Amino acid sequence: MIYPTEMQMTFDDFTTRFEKLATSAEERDGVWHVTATPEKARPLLESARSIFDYPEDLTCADEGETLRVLYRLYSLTQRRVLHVHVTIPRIGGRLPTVSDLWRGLEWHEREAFDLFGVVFDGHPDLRRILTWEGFQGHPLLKDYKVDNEDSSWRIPEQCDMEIVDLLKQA
Amino acid sequence: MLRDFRIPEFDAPPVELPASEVDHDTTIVSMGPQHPSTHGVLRLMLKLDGETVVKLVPVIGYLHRGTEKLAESRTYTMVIPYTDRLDYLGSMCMNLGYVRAVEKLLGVEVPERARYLRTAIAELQRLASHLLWLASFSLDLGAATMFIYPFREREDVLDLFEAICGARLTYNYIRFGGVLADMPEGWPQRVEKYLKLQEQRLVEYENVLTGNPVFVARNKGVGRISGEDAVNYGLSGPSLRGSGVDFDLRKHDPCDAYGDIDFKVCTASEGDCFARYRVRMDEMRESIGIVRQCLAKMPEGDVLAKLPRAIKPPAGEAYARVEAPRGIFGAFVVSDGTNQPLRVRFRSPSFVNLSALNQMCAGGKLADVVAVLGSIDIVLGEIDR
Amino acid sequence: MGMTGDRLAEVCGRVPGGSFVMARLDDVLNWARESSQWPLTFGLACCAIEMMATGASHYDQDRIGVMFRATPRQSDLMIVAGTVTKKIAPILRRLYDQMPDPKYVIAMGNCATGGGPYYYDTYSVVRGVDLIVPVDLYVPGCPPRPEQLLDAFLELGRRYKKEHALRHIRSDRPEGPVAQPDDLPIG
Repeated sequence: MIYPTEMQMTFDDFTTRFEKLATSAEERDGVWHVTATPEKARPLLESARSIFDYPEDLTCADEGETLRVLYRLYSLTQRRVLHVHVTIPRIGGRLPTVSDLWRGLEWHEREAFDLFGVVFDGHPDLRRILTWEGFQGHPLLKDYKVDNEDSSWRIPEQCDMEIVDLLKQA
Repeated sequence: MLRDFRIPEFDAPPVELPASEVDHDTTIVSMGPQHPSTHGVLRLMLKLDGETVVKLVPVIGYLHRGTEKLAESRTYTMVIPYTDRLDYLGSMCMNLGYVRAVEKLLGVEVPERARYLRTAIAELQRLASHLLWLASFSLDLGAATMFIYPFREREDVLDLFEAICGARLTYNYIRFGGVLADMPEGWPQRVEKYLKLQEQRLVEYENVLTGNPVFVARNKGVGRISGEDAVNYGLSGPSLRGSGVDFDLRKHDPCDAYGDIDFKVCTASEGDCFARYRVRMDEMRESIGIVRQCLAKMPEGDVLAKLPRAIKPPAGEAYARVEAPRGIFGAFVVSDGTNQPLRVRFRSPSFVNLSALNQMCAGGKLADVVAVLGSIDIVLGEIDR
Repeated sequence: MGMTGDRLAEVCGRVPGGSFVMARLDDVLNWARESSQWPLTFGLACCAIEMMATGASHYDQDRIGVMFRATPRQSDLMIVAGTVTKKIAPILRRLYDQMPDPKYVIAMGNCATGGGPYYYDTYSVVRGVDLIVPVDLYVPGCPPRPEQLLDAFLELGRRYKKEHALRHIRSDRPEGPVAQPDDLPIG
């Protein structure tokens, strides 16, 4: 059910609701952008959960000095996209998980951990997802340089025991 | 006479073991990366109790090619062919998602004719993708005849694509500001001929599969996911619409020419494999209608806006999404003012759809895993990027 | 079986005209092998779709005897279609080792041939499957057309004529592919 335009939340209602939790808020091209600190990120997302029920994306961008985490949420009833930007330090950045609010962000958080090194506290299964077991480093950080002349690569020893242990615990 | 043939042992009642004697030992099976039914290099670790699936853990990353890292070392135009190889069955829609994001950064206005052409091409791509889905889904379930028939029509669509852009699978056709080239002479007539054929053939496919009791038994009630769970997981595309949620990006956020085209959103309410099958078959019919309308309404004009040779968007970021055949494909592009992107991120629908597989398969049988995996229609290229 | 090959070679060596018998047996076996190549489906990425199209009705590889087998134990050809990443490399090698001799490898597509568009600037792609398994035939293209893959099957069949099939069932056969393609014409 889509709310008719009169019943839809305006940007001013939204900012008044979240003004204590967000650092800044603006509307650009119909998308609501909200910035939050790492401590206020989880309360902000918890209160946004009731309106923004559809998790679209969770991604990071390495901006040189810091890492910016972007949560992209969508409201099916209001047809509105919400971007929550959280800036965390590049090395050792930690954020509380939101995979209990939206199950769809569980794998996105694993991917952010794998490729950027962001640790999500409280995540049920924070393991590497795209790179292989035994991979060192976080590839999408800017200081991870790819060696194009690497010809000394050999088949790595692979270990499946991680997954088997995981299944045994289930 | 044959019905009276009985084997006495089979008629005896089954032996009931007392609960203490039954040994519920679980087995862990790796439906490994090389498997005819996993649609690519996907590994499913299954914890089985007899034939019942207790837990399912997908292991991905066997096709992780590092496209997002690679895109940071390429110019904006050079990334477009890499988007083809993400979801190689819906390449045009992948191109479209990335190109729309960069067009938002550039602030470029796409000409009218190019918008209609993009819409027609995207819907033809949806047809080709659903045909291949139908073929591989049927092959997985054992209906090998239905592997051959959709490929016949798919070859017709690929011939149309080859006429318009030169390639069968990885097109690199949608460019910033429009499309690469206008349609050749006689292309609309060829498309109309194909669409007439496809309508008849869809009826044939329905005749083979929809009423078939084996097909129905393998799909009805299998892999059920409710509407709220589907929204919570962030499913999209036919996997979401099969659970009753009518979220179609072409209606929610119409881009290109979708606002002028009249079509309906196909949904089904049960949330099982059969519902998703129904949704895709209906979507194929709707796509035929959309392509017809696009070709009828297409105005004359340019197909590519004038842009400078070197694409250097101003610093900023943009997120664009497309209703790809598998769901919502999103492209997030961050620019720092140079001719190489700072960050490119692809939100792939199959990545999210696959994360819900445990929910759909747990408690079911081993043979149903294949049916569910086929019905959510994943492509490993976009999962692993 | 190895003993049979040895005994047969020994006996034919002593009997006048025995080498003629061996050569004809070789021909028969080679003809049988070229008309029934059974590949292991190892479709990884986009090239797998063209491989499926080759198997489907329009290009129909079954008319030249090619039938996909899902298990390495029953296949004599491995078509590596798509990008080989470092994560799948050990599994690829394991599958190759599980195939019985004589076995051949077709590297289909640019990614399997030499890394393809993913040669530079990626941390997870193997630059060509020939770093992992010995390759007999390279099919370039991104993706190659189904006609190119059909041509590859026919070319591999032509190579069998140069082989001594019976050598494969002798107990002292060499490791690895037996065909020496140095004297074959290019293209």
